[in-house]
Amino acid sequence: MGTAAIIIVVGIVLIGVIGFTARQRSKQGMTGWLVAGRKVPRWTSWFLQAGESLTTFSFLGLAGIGFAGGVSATFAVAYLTAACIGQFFVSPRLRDLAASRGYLTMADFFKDRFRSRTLSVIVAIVGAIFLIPYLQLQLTGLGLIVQLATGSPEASGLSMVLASAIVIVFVIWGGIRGIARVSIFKDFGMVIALVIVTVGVVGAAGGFPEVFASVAQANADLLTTHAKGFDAIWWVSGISVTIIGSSFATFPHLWSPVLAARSGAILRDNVKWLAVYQLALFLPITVGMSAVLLISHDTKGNQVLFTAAQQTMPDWLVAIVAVCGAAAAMVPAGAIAMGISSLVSNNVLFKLPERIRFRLNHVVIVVAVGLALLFGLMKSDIGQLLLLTYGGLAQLAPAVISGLGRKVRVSTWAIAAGLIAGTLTVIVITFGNIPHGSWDSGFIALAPNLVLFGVVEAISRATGKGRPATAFDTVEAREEVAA
Amino acid sequence: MSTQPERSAPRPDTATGVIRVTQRIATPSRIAFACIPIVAMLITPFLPFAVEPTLWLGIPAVMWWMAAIVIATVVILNVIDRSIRRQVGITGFESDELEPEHEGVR
Repeated sequence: MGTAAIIIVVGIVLIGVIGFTARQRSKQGMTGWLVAGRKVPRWTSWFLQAGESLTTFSFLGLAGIGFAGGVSATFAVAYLTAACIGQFFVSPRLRDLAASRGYLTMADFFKDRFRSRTLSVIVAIVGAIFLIPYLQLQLTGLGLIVQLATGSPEASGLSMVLASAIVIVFVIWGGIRGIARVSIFKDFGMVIALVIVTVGVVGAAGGFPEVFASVAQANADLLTTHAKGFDAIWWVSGISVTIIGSSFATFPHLWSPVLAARSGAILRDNVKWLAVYQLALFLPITVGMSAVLLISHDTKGNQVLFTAAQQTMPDWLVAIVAVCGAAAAMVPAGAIAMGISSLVSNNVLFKLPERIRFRLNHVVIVVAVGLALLFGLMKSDIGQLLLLTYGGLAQLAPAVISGLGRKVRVSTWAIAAGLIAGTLTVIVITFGNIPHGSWDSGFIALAPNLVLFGVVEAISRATGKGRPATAFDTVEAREEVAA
Repeated sequence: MSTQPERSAPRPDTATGVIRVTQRIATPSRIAFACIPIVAMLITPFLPFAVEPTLWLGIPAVMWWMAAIVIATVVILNVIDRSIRRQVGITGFESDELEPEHEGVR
């Protein structure tokens, strides 16, 4: 095992130790483990909320898009910033609803707001299934980072197994507190790592800002949002559907950080500054564009950042950067595993006693991470499923919006019909290889979703059937959800 | 930005006799103000400097533009938050709309 591999293994173990130090302070069961008793203070909440901004996508994907599409990669800066605007209004409301009515998961919200256990079970099952490819993406990304940093496929597999085991342990042990601890390390580490890589790669490519003039000479289209494979439709539809999805918390694993905050005011206070975080994304974009001058044009997008780094930096430094990349994979992996397990144990196995559900919750974590690891090691191509994750979960947005008001005024049938229509459309477009140009499939699917939602709601109002029994915010409902 | 709805007096619920204070945080004017950066993001690919290769001070113009939008977003959200805090200062409430725990039964 080379020096780089040793540094990475030690780094991954260190990440686990950091997460392991966050043991639950009291025996609060699922509430303590999943939402820390809803007492997470401001700065912990900040790092949990920021956790989704800097991920393996920031390391691998964004540099790749910068390499192929130039400044088109700033679409990520756009949608993550816009998501802050949506969350500024939505997150405090979700948190307050959850605190007063006892929600632990996204599916709890559906059960309570639409008075439908069936809807909550469907949301829980669909959410859990859609998150598995996303979990695999994190583990595969981690393996790729290690492989690129060490040049060893064996080290890649080993690191994926090691990181998966560590994620399982610190998530079961520390719950959301464990994830918060690692998030702090991850966020500082990633910014430092991105600065290191940027200095190394941009320096080798001619320095700052001269590098951009050189890029313009090599491929002027990279300075526009219209490089080959990128256009205005891609930009507008992709950003729109992502803003809708992230603003209205359609990813089930993102609910825990929101529900755990001590108050809605804390969330709002954090989110109003969180957009500043997105400025860090200019670093991997710059690295990707600079790499045009340094590495072969045939380089795969995900390999751009580390290929360029290896050409310009010593191995040990690349290894340290890889450790930060591993943390960027492990934090979302932990949050996703927690999201899957809570949906299954809290909303699918709801008939079991709480004590047994909490035990089974840990088993589900092991199964979910194990499945994702297996898919990753077998190099299963579940990329198509990942498209379903993004496009499919965005179809929940109309339902979440409908449930935010003080009274829920739409019928459960309308919600279900729109959801089914939207999700089926994404599935047909994805697996039927339906040509859709640059349009985002999730964006397209929102059209039948909303049309059917409107039609069924109109029928429901005309017939008076399917209305939710919304004696709005009754105390009984809270007890019912908690039970 | 109209503050009229934010300062309305508590209204009793006729059905339940519960006093509810509907302190809306997400008012139309606030949402419209907050949407300015989103509109700026969405029109980006149609702007001249995003269509033609353009450098400002040696850096791609689109990067300057996006950085400006990020800063504008922070400024706008802080302005809105300040107006919310003024509202909270008046009423003493932090939630968008009060939940049962905060309600008083007449």
